[in-house]
Amino acid sequence: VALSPVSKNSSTFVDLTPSTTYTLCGYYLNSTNTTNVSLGCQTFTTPNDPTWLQYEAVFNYSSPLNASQRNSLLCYITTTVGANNDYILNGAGESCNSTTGATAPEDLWYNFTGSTNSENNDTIYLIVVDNSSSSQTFVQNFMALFNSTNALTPTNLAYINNSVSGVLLSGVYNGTQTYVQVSTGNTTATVQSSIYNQTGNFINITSVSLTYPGSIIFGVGYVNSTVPSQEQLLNC
Amino acid sequence: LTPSVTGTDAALYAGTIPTITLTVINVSNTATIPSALSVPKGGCSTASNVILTKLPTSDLSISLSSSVLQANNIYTNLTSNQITYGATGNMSQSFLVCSNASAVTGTSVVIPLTVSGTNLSDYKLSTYSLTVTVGSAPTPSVIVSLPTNYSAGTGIFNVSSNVEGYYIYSLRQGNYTTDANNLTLY
Repeated sequence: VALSPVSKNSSTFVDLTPSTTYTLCGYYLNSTNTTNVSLGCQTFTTPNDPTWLQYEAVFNYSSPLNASQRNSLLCYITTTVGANNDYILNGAGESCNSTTGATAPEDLWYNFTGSTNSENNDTIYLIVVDNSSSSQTFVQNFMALFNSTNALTPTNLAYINNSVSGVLLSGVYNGTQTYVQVSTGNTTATVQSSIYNQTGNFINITSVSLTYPGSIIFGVGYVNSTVPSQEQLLNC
Repeated sequence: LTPSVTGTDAALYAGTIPTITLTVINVSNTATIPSALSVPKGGCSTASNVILTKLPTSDLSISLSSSVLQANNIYTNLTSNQITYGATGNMSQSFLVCSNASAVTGTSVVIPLTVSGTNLSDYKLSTYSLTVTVGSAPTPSVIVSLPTNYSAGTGIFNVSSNVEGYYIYSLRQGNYTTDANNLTLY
């Protein structure tokens, strides 16, 4: 932010999530880049916002989707709903990569560079951050993917199946959750002991389970590595 | 008035006097202005007042020379560097004089003041120039005000400063007491 002693200076932050604590740290730097003063840090918590909602739908496949198929599914739903790419996500936090010729989804909310595992089911999320007319349109379009019994309509099932090589078995609308429910809901993650394959020099994790849709991020370090924080793992 | 020509060749020249129009005006009203101000480098003076003895019947403006201000990296918080009065309002108006960080410390600049407006003839200034001296840069005092409300995840943070420069920040989710992103200067 360029500072002037006579005018109002401001910075606008977007995509802040409700009921979330943030830390803002800053420096003053003079115009000639010769002096800097640390201004320290201050924390703040955004207020609760009941209009922030996560709409969920669970999709089942006859075999796990590859990256290209995950992208096709995400892009079909994103296009149909009309929302920005970053507001339609799958369980791994991936979004539609609408770049021509894209073969994998994009990580628009973090910079994790590892590979993403797929299972025979996945949850697709639509996130709306307010009750604006555009958000209401996105919700309306998302809900229109499903019929009165919450199942994908035959038309949408056929369209999506066409983009995922016919492996889609079903899609079911699964209700909504507020941000507080999403961020504080209890889930149990079970990870069996990993097996180090000395011949192939890889680590095999055979069974991972969650009692609630989500993802587990793994990182590998040396024996004496500092245990990484969630932030470090997501942005390594 | 009689022209006077002197010198060895005075006889070879004829002196003439141009037409001079003198206007006698009523200057019973005064605008009191400080004659000198001190401005910190990159910062602003304390607020100064221009005080009229009486409001104009129509309008009156007192201007600081924009060209002189600009040439010396000095500016004001006034629109067009002009203090404007109308028939109604406050007889005392405040203004700030500020300097850019590129202003030279120790420089004294004489800024001409001029009067204009419908009631130009009714006023005299206590001084027709303002001397601005650029002092050393102040200790930075930057205050960041957190937003009082958020709309769809958007919050506006206001940043006030007593001096020119930049506010470089990081925003992270979570509760931290220190900044992991150290600023390195070369």
